[in-house]
Amino acid sequence: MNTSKNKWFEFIYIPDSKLLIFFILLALAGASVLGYYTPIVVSSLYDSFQKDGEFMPIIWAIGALYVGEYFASVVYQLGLSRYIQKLLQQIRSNSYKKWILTYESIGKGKFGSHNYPMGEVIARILNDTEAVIEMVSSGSFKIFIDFAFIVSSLISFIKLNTVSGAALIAAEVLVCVALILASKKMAKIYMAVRKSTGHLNRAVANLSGGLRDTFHTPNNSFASKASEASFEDFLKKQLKANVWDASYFAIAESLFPILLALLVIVFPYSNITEMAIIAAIIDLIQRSITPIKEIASKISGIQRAKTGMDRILEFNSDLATMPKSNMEDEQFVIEDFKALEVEIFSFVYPAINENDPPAFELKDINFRGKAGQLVGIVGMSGSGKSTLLKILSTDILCPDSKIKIERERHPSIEFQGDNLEGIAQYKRQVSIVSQDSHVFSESLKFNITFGEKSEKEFKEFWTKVNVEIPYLKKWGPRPEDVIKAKDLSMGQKQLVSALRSCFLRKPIVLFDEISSGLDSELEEALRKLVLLIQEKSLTIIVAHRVETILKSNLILVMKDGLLANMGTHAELMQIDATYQEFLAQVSS
Amino acid sequence: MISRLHRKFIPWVVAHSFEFWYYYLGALLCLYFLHYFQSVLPGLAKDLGDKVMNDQLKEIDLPKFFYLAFAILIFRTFSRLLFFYPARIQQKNLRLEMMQRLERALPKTYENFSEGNLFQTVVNDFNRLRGFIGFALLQVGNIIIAAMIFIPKIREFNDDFLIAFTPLIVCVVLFSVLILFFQPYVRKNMDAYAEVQNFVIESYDAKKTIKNFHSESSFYKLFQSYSATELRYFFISGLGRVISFPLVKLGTGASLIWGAMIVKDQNLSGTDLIFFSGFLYLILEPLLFLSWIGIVTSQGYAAWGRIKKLVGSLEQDVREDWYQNYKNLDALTLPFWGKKVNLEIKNNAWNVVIGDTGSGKSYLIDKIAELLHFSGCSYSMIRQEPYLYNDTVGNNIFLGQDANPEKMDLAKKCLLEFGLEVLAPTLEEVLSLEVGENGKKVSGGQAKRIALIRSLVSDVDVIIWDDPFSSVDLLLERQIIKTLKSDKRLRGKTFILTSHRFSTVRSCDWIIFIEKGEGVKETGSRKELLSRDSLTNEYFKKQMV
Repeated sequence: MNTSKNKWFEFIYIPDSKLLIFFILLALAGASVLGYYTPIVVSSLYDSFQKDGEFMPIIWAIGALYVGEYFASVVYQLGLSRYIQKLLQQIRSNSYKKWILTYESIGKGKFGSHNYPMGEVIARILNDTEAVIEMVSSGSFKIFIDFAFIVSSLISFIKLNTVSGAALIAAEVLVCVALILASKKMAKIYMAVRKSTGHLNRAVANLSGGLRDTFHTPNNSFASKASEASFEDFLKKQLKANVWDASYFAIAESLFPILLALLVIVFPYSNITEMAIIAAIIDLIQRSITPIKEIASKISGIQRAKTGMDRILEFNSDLATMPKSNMEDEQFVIEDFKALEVEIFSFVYPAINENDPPAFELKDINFRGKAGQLVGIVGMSGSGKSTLLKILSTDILCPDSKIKIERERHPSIEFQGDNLEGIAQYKRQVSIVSQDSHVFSESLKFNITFGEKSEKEFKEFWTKVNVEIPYLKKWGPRPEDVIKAKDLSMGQKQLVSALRSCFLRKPIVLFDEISSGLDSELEEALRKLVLLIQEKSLTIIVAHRVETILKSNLILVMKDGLLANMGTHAELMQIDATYQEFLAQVSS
Repeated sequence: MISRLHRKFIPWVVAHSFEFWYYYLGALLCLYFLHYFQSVLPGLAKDLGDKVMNDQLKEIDLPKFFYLAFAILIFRTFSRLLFFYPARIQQKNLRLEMMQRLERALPKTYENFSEGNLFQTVVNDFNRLRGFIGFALLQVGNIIIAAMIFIPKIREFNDDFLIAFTPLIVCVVLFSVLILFFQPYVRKNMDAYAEVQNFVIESYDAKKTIKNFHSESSFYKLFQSYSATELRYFFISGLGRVISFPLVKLGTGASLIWGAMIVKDQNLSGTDLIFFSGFLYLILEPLLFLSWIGIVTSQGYAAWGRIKKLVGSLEQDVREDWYQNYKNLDALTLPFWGKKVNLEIKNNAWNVVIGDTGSGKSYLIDKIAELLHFSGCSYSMIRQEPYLYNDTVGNNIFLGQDANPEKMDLAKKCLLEFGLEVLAPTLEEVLSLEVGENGKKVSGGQAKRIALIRSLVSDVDVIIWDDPFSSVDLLLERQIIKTLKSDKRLRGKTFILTSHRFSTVRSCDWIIFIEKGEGVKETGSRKELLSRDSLTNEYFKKQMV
């Protein structure tokens, strides 16, 4: 309890904002003082009608009270908006940072299967903070300053007339409690509406996504029929919510006559004889109705924001338990890379059901490659070559494996498959070029450099690749141009990713060749890039074409999860049946 | 289904009001009674003051207060409900009509609208419209009826009190102007929010890559700048509200002071000021919504504009002249690479269109599909990357058609032969397997094969597949084609495929070879083209080097 409170405080406190907090508190204090004087001044106004000479000063005093209230309110809201602005930036940035630093991968292991789906990440980083924004824009925070004002008015009124003041306080507290209790029911109804909105959104996204595709096939109006069902459900929930909503607010609206009746009921005990007191209390009732009316809706807003914050807190503390990198870390890229030695003893995909036999096993893979070499991996689909590549890129964690990196001037380093920190370090030595490498809707330059290295280095690099690869000129985009993933073909995406790997050089580069659908120039460009990368790195490539591996130093032939054979093209042609079968397949 | 989306904005609002006139009549009556009963309250409060002064407390009619409260409760509730209900129904009808229009329209007509756009329209724009008709109509009615009832009541009492409302009205107008002035920033804030969201989505997709290059800090900085922009707009858009909202209270105060001066000048009773302030608070609520009427109306109008843009786009006539000459598939003349090209497709046979990437294979079959659509032929086309609905495999295959035993049997056979039986222990379970959002729970290749089965069970004469076997290995491809060719239920269908794989071409009967910028270079039977020194032969030889 205590720790969670501490966490909360840490969470919503921003350093360097003492001045802002001071202004917010000052406005609250100001509102309380103004609230305290309001009933007193209002009752003297009604008194002053009979007395000459007192009227104008009272009018000035009332004017001053209203102006003061205006400024207190503006200062409070301004300060709060600014604070929230800063706070949200802090919370979001921290959450994003923590999330981007964690490693996520599939497979067995302590943290192996842990990851947040995309919707969750967006929800946690953005939507949950949205509740707080909503609170500001709907004026939920205003309730605090309004209450500071009303509460001190009520207290001050007790001094004017104890019985009716106390009765009013009791009644208003009762009403607030009743409204808040009723708002629990309302919250449930809103929740159902929200859920139904979620269903509707998902259904629309899902169905409208498929319209283009199912137009040219008999579709029996699948999309509109399915959407009608979700529209109906949404309508039902909404109408139900409207009934509750409308009557709930109507109750608050009917408060005025009820509170007046209360006044009448306590008359025999309150001994009010002056009209000024009656006028002051009616004024007070009128002022307090709006905040009371709003309390339930605002409190539910605050509740929602708190749930949002709780969820972010949970997200943050969850992320804290996952393996992560450190932003301040050195790149730790091995400069004097000499060779890589891989030993995979066994890897089994976790079965979906516990009792099922393991779906597929990768076993006894052992090879070595040196800097500047090209290693090809071939095999039929299902032979395990993609799994092997995923283990090498640490997309899959394989605890039962060992990877050794030999260095020119330093002792070699061994990375055990079950040592997460070691694997994280190894991961830094590897880059992967595949068709699902991501292309950002940012400039081409950013996509290649990721903001790393200097401007000069990039210019040199860009000039060099432009000379070597004529396709780049023909393709079009300049380094500053923003590129959009959806405008690029698979091959072009792979080209961007290969350029990136070539620029941000790693000792080991993994390449997942596209199986089909490249035009010859692009294919040529990619092959050229492989050569450029290979100059300094060990390049491991899953090949779908013979010419890719003809000149490679080593070819690994995979079959049924086993390393069937390895050697050069010439050697394998002589001895290996699987390899010959592969060749026959790709060139048949 | 009644069409509603063809109207312009104002006619639509009018038509809507007539469609639900009985609701609105009831709603206006409720509003009238609500304000009538509310207008009794200030007099009641004044009366209370008078009776205290004259020591006549015994004469107060206590039950009357409760009757009034009850009447306000009832009429307020129903006035709201009767305004909201038609708006909700209308929203549902409009959304459904939009989905139906989208479903009937050729995808080409809305190619400029991304999926995000469609979503925005169907979800958000219709929601704004609902907000407009539900809310703006209510508040307009509210303010008119309130004025109708309150003004005579106040004038009856004291004409001068009416002028004392001036400061309040000035402040409310100022408030409304300020809110409207800052409104564009609300829009900017929303756009900026979408960009932050987009950035998170991209970071998610690219997380592996980012971590691989240890570029977390660049991305962190970029995120901060996106988020800061959004929050800056959030702050600015809030400024208007922060400055202007308390103005209303200030206006109330000024009006109250004015009223007090009148009381003093004309030597009226203090209880008259109670009466006046009662109306001041009553009129506040309808006045406050004045600015929202403007905002909601402009939003509704803009939303209708966007909706109409989409509707207009869907209604374009995209038929091309050459469709009219269509007689049979084996003698087509169509525009391709800027020329008129003759195309021969064999009926009841396996046709394959081959050519390099970018040679226009997808374009060509798209045109054929459009032609078949406008000619009323039965056909089914599956694109390169087909879409799966977030539903079961079975529903994705049958798309709502009743699966008779024969078709069910065909579907199961296909699942088995297409290598999809691995998805679950039994075929029944495969059929009831949920494929997830956009088919995420199955691989791209599996999704494609599910879509291929969709067209096989759909009773069509012509089946068009764009690069159907790209993600299938050669053995499985051979097995699939063998199954399809041997099944009696699929006899007599015309297949049109695109491919650049020799293995696929080898199984087809009729080859159409196309080239970028050139059009159809060669057409002929497989036997002929593969046995002689043809372009096709040369193309595949080059591929094998």
